[in-house]
Amino acid sequence: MIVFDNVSKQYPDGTMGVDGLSFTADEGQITVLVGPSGCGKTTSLRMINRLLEPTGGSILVGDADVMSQNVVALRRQIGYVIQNSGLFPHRTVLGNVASLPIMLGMSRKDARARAHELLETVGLDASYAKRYPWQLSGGQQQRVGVARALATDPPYMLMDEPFSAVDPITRAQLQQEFLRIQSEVGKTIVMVTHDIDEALTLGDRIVMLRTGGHLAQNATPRELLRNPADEFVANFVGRARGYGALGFTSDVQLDIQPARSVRIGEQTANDDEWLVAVDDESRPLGWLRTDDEGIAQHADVEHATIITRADGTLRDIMDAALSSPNGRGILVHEDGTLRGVITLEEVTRAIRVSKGL
Amino acid sequence: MLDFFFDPENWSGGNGIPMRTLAHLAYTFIALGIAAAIAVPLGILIGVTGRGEALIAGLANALRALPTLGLLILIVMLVAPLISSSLAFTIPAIIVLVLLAVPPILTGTYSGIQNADRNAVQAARGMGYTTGQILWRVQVPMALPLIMSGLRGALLQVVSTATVAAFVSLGGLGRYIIDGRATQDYPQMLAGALLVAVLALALELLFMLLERFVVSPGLQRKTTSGAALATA
Repeated sequence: MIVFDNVSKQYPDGTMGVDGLSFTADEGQITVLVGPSGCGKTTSLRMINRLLEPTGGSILVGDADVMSQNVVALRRQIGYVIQNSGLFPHRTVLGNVASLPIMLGMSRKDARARAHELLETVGLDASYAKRYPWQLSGGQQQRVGVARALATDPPYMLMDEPFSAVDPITRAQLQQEFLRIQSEVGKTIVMVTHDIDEALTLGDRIVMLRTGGHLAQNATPRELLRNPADEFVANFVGRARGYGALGFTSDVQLDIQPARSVRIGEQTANDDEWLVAVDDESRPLGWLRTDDEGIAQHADVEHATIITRADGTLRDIMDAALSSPNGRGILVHEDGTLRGVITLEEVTRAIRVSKGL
Repeated sequence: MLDFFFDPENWSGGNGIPMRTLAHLAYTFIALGIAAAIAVPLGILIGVTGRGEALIAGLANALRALPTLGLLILIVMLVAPLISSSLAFTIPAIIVLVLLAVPPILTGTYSGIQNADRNAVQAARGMGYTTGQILWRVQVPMALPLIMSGLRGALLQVVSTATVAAFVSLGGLGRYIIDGRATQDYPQMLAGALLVAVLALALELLFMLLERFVVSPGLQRKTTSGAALATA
């Protein structure tokens, strides 16, 4: 657990970087500090591992005030990931990940074995181990950065804009993989981002700051979208409040209709109707309109259709309905087999219900 | 001039090419060693603290502007009366060479430390590296390319300037030039100049090889395995 208790950071010239900030980053959760530039989010993060020191209040890491702990010992129990990876350019990928454990007394053999494991965890093939950082793409460098931060298995992690410097597609991929890794390692993480979508995607809790280092709102992503504390928060959350807000699992009961399906290669009734094409394991491939011969051909399937899980978010289900050539979304069971179809009208009804309209 | 090189007398004895080359190398490496012992630690200190940079840069430039020969004679005049042995000429010559070698090494070292990837340094600090560990495991290895090129620049400067040692009646390849001039033996002068140039080139090559071994391939921007750059 990391606790901020009325923490302030005043610079020598009198300006306040952070002003009376209090929040708790719970054990095993991702707490995201988000806000516009100049809101003190990075300053707050750096006060946790004392790259900066607070001028007021106290920060607890574990049970002890950071200022009462030995600074090197404090930092060694906190993994640290920064925006431009900060990899050591003179060390190989493996060397980067293994260097801290070796420095702290782990045998070279064990440290290397552990580093290999971690590289696999972050999705880097063993062939990257001997490369140098400059031979990697930005996304790969960030993966190594995460592996390096995990190398000593610290209970805490600080991440400063970890995915900001990569392209949007890589970013989305890294975010999803990061969530998978976190579900395995369960670290107590404090992350900084200026990107509200990233905060909503990754955060178990969002601490929103406003310029001058004041707390604007401390809430779960869902609360933040449903009940922004004030105009500032509402504006910052912005567009994410609309369509993006559907990206949470809803408990609304959906009226899913049975679907008429046809296996590829089978004869279909020639009645000029949309059917769900399925493979041999009953997994849907897309919509298909029967042709004159009445044989279901692979080439006739509308592959652009989005297929999603019936227990997914309203956003995914709406995407399924919108991308369908006939306004009906194809839904599947957990194992990927056909569950049924849902109409666009039913999706909008569910949205109204979930919003209490 | 070819006669000079084919004369067996010039290849043996205290005045032969091998001995004079050795003497030349001795001056060069003694001076370079002393200069490195002064300039590398000082450069690290300036690079890490960021203090005294302007002062040192100014001083280094001033040193570069000093006329070598004039300085040599000045120091001989100042030092010689204090020492009664043959070192009376050796020490001033070494001092001059050290003064020449310090600026490039100093500049290379502190700019190497200062230009070391800030993100890497910051990450190391955040991960719990101590100041000493950051210096020796992160900053100095990253500064090595510039430190090495500083040393290389100093070496070239010293090896070519060591010829002036002969001016105050010391050995080394400079003797051929000074003696050749005194006796109007131009082939000998030319041969001396050529020998210095060849020695400088040889040392340059040797040093480049050394850099290959000392500097991490991660800082040399060359693929050792020939692996293609990944795009994902």
